[in-house]
Amino acid sequence: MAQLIHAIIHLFLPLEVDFSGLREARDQESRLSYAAEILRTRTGESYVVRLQKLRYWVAKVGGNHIAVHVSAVLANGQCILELVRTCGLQLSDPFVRELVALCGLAQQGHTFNPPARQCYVVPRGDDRVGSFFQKLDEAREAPALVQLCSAKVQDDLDFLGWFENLRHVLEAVHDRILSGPRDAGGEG
Amino acid sequence: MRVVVFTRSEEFAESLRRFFRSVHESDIEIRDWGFAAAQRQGATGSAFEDVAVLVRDLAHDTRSTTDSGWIAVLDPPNEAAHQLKNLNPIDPAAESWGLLAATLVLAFPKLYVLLVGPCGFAGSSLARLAHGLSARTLRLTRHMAVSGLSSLTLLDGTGLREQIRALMRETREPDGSVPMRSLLCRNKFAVSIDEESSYAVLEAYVAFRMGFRACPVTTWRVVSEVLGVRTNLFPRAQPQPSGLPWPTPDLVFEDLYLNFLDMPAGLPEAPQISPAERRLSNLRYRDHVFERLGDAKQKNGFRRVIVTVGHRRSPALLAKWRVNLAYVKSAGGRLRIIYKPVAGMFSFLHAAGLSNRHLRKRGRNASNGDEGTHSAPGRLVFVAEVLIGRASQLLATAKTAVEAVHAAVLACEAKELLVGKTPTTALEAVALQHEAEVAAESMFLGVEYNIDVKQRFKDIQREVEDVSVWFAARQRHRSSLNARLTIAERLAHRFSGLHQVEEELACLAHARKLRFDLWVREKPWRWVLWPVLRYVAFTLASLGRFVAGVVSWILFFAVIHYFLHSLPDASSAARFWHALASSAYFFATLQPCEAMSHSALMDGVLAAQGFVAFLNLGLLISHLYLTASRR
Repeated sequence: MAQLIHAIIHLFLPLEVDFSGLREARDQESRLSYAAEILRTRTGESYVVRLQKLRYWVAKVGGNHIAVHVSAVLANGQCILELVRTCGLQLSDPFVRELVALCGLAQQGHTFNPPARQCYVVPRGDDRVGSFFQKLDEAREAPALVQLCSAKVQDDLDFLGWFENLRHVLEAVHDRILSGPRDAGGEG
Repeated sequence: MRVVVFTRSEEFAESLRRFFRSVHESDIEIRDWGFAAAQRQGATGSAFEDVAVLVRDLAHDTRSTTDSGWIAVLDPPNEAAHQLKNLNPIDPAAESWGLLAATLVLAFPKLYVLLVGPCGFAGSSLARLAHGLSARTLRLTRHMAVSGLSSLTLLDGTGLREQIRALMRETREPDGSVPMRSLLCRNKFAVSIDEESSYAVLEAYVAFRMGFRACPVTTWRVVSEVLGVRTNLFPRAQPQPSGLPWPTPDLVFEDLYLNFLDMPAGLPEAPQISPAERRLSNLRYRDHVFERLGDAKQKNGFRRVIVTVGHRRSPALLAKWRVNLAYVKSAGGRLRIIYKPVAGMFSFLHAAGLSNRHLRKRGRNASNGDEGTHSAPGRLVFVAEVLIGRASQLLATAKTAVEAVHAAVLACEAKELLVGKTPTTALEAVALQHEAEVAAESMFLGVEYNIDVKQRFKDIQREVEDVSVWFAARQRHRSSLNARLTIAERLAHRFSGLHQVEEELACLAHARKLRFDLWVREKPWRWVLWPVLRYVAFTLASLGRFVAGVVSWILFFAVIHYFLHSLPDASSAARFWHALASSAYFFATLQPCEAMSHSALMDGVLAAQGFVAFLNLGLLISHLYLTASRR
C-alpha cells in the first residue's frame, strides 16, 4: 500500500510544484513566463495517462493496455480497493468513498458485493477530473496553463486542492487498512 | 538561498529547479546520494556509513554553517523511507533514507527539510505538514524566505526534532535497555516577539535552554504565520500565511512596543476596541489581532513575559501602561515584566520566573545510570561530533549575538543527544555551550555591562556532575573538578577576548579555587593546607573580600589581645579599644606596641599574627598586580 501511495504521489508531484510556482509568482508577467517555461520543458507522459494509472492503482479501472505498464507497483497484485476489501472495510467508509470520488469514479452501491465483481466502481459521467487533465495535455500556450492553474473557470478542477485532498485521503485509507475494520466505522 | 535536492526523478528535479529559480531566484543542487547508497546497503549492511559520509561532506561545506539557512528536499526512491520507524537514527533496522532524513535534521538545526510522500508522523500534525513537500510548504518557503524558515527550525519550532527524539526515547537495545529514555522532551512551545532580532533570538534561546521548543519572531510575516492573525487585512501584495496548525504557546516573551519592518499599512479592525486604541502596544488589541496569543490566556500554566525598556516619560504613556497591567491581571495567566537591559541569561531566567528544576531532575535521572553503558549510541556520538565541530567553527568567527546563539544551540543539541553519556564528548559540548552563551551575552548590547557569572558556575557544576557520574568512583570528583577548571579557564579566555574584565577575573578566581581543590586532592598531607588555600582563593576573588578578610583578622587578634594583654585599670570599652589598636598596629607594622607584655603565650600569638600579616601582605601585592595588569 505504501508503495502504491508513493507511486501515486510521484505521478502528480511535478505538477504540484509547477502550479505552486505559478501561484507564487510575483505578477502576471512572471506567471506567464513561468508557464511558458513549463510548456517548453514539459517531459514525461501525458496527464491523461497519469490519471489512468491512478485509476488502475486505486480500482483497476482502465483496461489491459494500462495494466501491463503499472501492475508491478500493485501490492501482491491488489489495487487499493482490493486491499480495502481484503482487510474487511467497505465502500461506504467515508475515506474510501472520497478516494473513489477524487479519482473521478462513481460507486455502484455501498458494498463490494455481489462477490467477485470488479465493476463496483465505474468512471463518472461528468468526469471533471478527466476533463481537467485532458485540457492540461491540450494546453499549448502559457495563458491557457495559467488559467487552468487559477481554477477560476467554473467547473474547472482546483488541482492543488484536489491533490492535497488526494494525499490526505490516501494516508487516511492507509491508516484504516493498517488498523483494520474495527476502527473503520463503515457499514461493512 | 541554498537548496539541496535528493531525487532521481528528472521531471521532479526540473519542476523544483523552475520553482526555486522563479520564486526565490536561486538554483538548486541535485544529489544522487541515496540511490548508490541504497544499492550498496544490501552488500555492506551499514546504511549509516553512507549517511555519515554525506553529512560530513555537508558539514565541511562552510555554507552549511554560515548561511542564514538552507533547504533540503528528500525524495526517497521507495516507500520504506516513508515509514515512521525509519526516521530513527539509532534503530539498527532503519532504512537508509529515513536515516539520512533524521540525521540531517539532527545535525543541521537550521536546515529546513522537506520530505516527499506520505510521512507518518502520527504524533504531530504540525511536523508532518510543515515538513512534507506540498503546495502549502512551497507557499511557506515563499512567505517566510529562507531566514524566516531557519527561525522556525533552529529552536525546533516545528517540532520535527522532537518527533525524532520521541522515537529515540522508545528505542530498545537488544538487551532490553532503553539508552535514550532520559532524552529531554520538548513538548511545550514558546514564542519571543521583538523586532530587534538579537532580543528575539536570545529570549527564544533562553526558553529553548529551559526545555521549550521556540520561535523567535522578528517580522509581521513570521508573527502572522506562527500566531495567526484573526482578521484578514494583509496588504494585497503580501502572501497569506500557510495555515499550518501551530500550537498555542505556553510561554511568550514580547516587547511592548512592536514596530515590524513589514508592518501592514492597515491593522485589523476590532469592533469592541476604539480606533484610537488600535495599536499593538495595547495588549488587549494585540490579543485580539494574534489569534493564538488570545487563545493562550485560557491555557493552563501559560506565562507571559513583557520585555520592555520601561520608559513612561509622559502621563499618557503611564496611563497606557496601567491599562495594560489592568488588562493582563484581569485576563488571567502569569505575567512577569523584565526591564531592558538584563544581566545575562541567568538573570533573564530569574526575572522571567523560570526555573531549571525540571532540568536538574532530568540530569539526576540520566545519571542514575540504570540504562545501558556509559556510551551514547555511536550514531548520536557522530551527530554530536558534527554539531560540536560546527559550533566551534561558528564561534570562532561569530561577530554577533545571533551567530553566537546559533553556536550555543548546536552545542546544546550535542549535549542533549549524548544524555550525559560518552563523558569526554559530552563535557566538550557543555564547555562549548557555555562559551557560546557568554559570547552571545558579551556581544549583545542589550545585556548589562556586568554579566552574572555566579549562576553560570552553579549550572556548570550541575551539568558536569551529571556527566562525571560515568567516571570511576575514585576519579569522579577529581574528574568533575578538572572539567569545571577547564571550562572556567576557557570562559576566562573568552571573556578576555571580549574585554569583559570583571567577568574574566571572576572566572579566574573560580578557576583558582578549583585548582587549589584539585592540588589538595593529589596528596593526603596537602589537606593541612586546604584552609589556607581556601582563604587565599576567597580573598583574591575581590578587593572587598580582601579588606573584609584583613578586618576580620584584626578583630580576631584584638579579642586575643584583649584577654592576654589588657590594661588593668581601664574600663572594658577602653581595654577593648586598646586591644584593637594593638592588633591593628602589629598587623600594619609587625611591631608590638610598647606597653605589650612579653609572655611566651603572647609571643606565640604575635608570631601567628605575623604569619597572617605576611600572608595578607602577599595577597595585597597580588591584588595590586592584578589591578595594575588590567588592560
